[in-house]
Amino acid sequence: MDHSKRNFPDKIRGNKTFLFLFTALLIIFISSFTNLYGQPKGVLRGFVADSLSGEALPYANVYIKELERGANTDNRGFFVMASVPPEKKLTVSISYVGYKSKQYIVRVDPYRVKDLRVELIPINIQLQTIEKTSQRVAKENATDLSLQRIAIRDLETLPRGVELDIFRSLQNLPGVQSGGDVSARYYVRGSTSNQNLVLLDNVTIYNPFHALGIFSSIDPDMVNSVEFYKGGFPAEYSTRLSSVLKVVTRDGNKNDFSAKASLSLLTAKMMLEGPIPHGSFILSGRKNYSDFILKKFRNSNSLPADFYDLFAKLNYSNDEFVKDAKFTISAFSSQDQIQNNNLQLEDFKWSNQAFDINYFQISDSPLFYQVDVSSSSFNGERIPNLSGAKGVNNEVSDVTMRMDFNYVYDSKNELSGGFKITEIHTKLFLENFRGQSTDIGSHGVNISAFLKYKLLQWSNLGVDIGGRVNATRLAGGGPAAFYEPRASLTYRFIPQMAFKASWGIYMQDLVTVSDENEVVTIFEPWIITPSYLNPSSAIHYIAGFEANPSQNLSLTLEGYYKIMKDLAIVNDQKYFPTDNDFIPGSGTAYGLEFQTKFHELPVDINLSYSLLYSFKDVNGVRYSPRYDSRHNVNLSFEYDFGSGWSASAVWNYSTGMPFTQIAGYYDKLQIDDLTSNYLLNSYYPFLILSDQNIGRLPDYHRLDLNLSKKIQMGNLKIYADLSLLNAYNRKNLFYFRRDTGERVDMLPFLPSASIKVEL
Amino acid sequence: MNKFQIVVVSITLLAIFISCDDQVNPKTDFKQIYVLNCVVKGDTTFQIATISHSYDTSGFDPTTNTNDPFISGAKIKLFYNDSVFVFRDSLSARQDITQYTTPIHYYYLKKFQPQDSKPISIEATLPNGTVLKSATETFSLSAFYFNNQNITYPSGTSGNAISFSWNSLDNNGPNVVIYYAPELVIFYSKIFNGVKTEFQKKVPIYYTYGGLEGPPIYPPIQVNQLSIIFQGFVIDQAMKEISQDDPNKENYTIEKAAFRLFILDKNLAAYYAAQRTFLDEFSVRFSQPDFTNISGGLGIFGTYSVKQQDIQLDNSYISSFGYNSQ
Repeated sequence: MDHSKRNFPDKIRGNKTFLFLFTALLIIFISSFTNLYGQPKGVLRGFVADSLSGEALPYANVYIKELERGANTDNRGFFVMASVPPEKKLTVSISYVGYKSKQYIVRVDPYRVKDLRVELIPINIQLQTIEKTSQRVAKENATDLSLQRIAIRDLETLPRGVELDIFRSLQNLPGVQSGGDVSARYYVRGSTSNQNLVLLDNVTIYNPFHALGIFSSIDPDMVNSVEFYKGGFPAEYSTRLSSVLKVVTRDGNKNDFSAKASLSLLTAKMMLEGPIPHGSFILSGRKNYSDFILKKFRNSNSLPADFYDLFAKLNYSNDEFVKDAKFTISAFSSQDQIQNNNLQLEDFKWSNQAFDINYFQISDSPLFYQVDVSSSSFNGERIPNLSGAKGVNNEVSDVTMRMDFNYVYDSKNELSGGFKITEIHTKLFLENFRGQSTDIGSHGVNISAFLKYKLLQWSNLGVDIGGRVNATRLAGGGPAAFYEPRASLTYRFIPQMAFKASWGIYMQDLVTVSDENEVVTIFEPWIITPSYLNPSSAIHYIAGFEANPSQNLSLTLEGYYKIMKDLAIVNDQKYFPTDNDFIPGSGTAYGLEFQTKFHELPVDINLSYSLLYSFKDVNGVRYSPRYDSRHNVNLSFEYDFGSGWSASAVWNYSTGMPFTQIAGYYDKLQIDDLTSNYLLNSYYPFLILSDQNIGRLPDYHRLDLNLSKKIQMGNLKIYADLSLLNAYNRKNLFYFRRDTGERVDMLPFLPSASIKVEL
Repeated sequence: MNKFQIVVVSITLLAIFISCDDQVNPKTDFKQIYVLNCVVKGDTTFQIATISHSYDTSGFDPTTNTNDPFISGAKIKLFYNDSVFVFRDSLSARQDITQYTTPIHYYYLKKFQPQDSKPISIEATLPNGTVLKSATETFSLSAFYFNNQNITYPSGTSGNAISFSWNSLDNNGPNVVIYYAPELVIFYSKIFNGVKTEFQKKVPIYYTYGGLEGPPIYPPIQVNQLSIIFQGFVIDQAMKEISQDDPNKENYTIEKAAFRLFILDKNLAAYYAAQRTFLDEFSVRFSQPDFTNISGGLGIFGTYSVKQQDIQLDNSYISSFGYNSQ
């Protein structure tokens, strides 16, 4: 289809908007240059790492005492502080939870970049006096509304359930709903799970779930940090409507070889890491060995699941080869099978493969840029056997090339931009109920570029304005080009309180074929939006307050309103082969989220509440989708006893999920043969359902307890965990079987243990 | 009891209290709904309608309901061509009495056969005052014609396939949508223990896995599509299946073959397609859709006309299967 000839006026309109914003950014860009050459200033740039492993420390605090200015390292461990007065002796303090703080005396030269490489020494006893001041100052004007930054060590103290799982940990955040104990799939602010982008470093992972979706396929041991946007995400992220989860993996130990082995009741894991000439490597693998635990998720029914995941990464950084550059090659693979060994039941298998080559360069000026080439693929198959189910075979593969840069002006303002080309192929072989198959897949190319300007020159105001223009879309109807403007603002009107807001338009033209009423979604097949539909789009309006009444207490309150258009909804009223498989729907979601954190060693308390209203409108009917849980409360309590002992408790509460009730039965006329006497002889019982999702399951609540012990003997570290899941054995209802009325509950009381040995 | 014991007992009691499951019923309040079914057939003067009500059971198996839901005493009127036709109440013995043992209540209309392309509507007033309504249109058979009048199979001109094509005088304008359900049927009889019984064998359009592999697929509803081809090997297979493994081929007589073209109104087409082609279609749809065009209730009010064209089967072709020809 020739996109360039479609909806010409829309395209013109889109280009005008883009040109307008581009001009505005250009003006700011030029004015910054004026600023740059007006006052002599220097730049302090640095990299913070673990002294033992050389691993980057994300979100570490950097603070210049004399200037009362702070910064955080990014997820690569880098920080940049522009507009530093030259020729002055400055005290720079670097701190990170679990590490001994360091102070440096530095002096920067005018118009020069001063590089600082910091290695922090890990300590067993957590510091009582973490530099909260620097942490607070660093966040003064950060445009980080709806962003949660999580270092993996923050997750390790929480009850891990059967396995420590990043996706499950997200479900403790306000605004994130889970599909229940049996699913790590998550729903953000009233959106479907296929509107969540999952990036492993820079690569999209399409179906990152193991077993029935009970666990994510990303092993937390290979993860260094996690960035999670619940909405309002900036212009560098695209292709999804709702949220972005960026998982940044570890580089591996640069100084010494080490090995980790761990065993839980479900999986065995092994990880090797160590130095190579001018670099490091990391290799990890995980494999399940028992379905003892999985049975607990299914009313003691056997779950013949078999899965593994593998990850490998190689880093190379040699100044003699390319100065201040880093080359990274990584690969990820996961595979799952559910084989029932019973022809009356369907079997499943699915896999993810990802490969990434990254070149990251620091220039002599405060400029970072990277070039990245990656590919990702997903294959999923439902094999119906003799079960009567429909067979499905889905393949999605992409190849992406992207280039990003980030420049920090002397005024502290930042300009970043990038260019991305993605080619995606999808195949979806559908079988009808007679076993014949056909392919409804397609392919397309998305070429897009983004530009973003961060106004950070005033300490109490941060503005982030930018946009992404999609020059071509994968497919679908509507305009060939699509512009996604984004804006975010932080205004700190008193030191203890800031107002934050963000707005943006988002587009998605890769959708999944999902049955909203399916209780357990094993995998969701992906396809490019059919040409008869416009791309799905959403507008986010988010505003909130952040308060820090004391050094140990933080409070956030956020409200959001999200409008979704042209959602691809499976057409349940498809009567003829010529009818479309999908119809457009729309959606609205709005809500409030409150979170408070209290940290005073040895105690950590985290309390959050979220209120959500989510609706979908399809064919003139408005209903609440399955993940519309009205009230959610999460409470976690952690206590550090010292000597390696720690304990934690997490309590979750959520209003029951909507479901469709049975309102009776009727005898439906069946016409097999138009000439027969069917009106007198051919009827069969048929369900009458209530209005869609008008009923509510009972409320969900669950308490998990955890006790951890860390033992260190020389280089040998042992981490032992004992968890009590669903400690008071709450019978949380998962679903009813409509044909039998059988009640299927979620996870019962379950003790679980894991042990990890690190050498 | 010291403080520690009080705390332990309190926590235990609290845990027992909150661990209890909440009772919830997957059923909501029973919804009383009435169901009207009436398909006005263009090939007969005898029209039938039924009315039933919804029901509930104590469990989740609807077949445990043994109270006959079919209703008598309703007044059903058909409005057509500026005339009103009133159905009469009757009973008929059920063929299957595993669930309901009583005769089925139904309504009939004698001497009514639609002839023209005109609107038609139905109104049923139940004994409790509930009114069910629907409207559709009928077709004039004279507006449809086959392009080939004489078809013989096999023949030197038709090759190893039979092609049917037709046209409609109503097929004017881009907004006219006509739904066709074509079928090819072989009429035959079998003598068993001296008794002759007549049967029909429908010919599929193809088999699932190509060739003769897999389950047969019958022609789907065609929307504005004016032709269909049945491959010779599929017809041959249908002929073979008439006697299956019966070695006594001489007991079978091929009476004739006929191509039947059903012309359906949109409602009946949707209802018919929703259940019939559900198994055959490639669709991302997850469950069989329900369809109704009854205002105030459920069910179907539809119309169809049928046009038939006989096919001459060559005697030598029939005898090649060991069958007798008429």
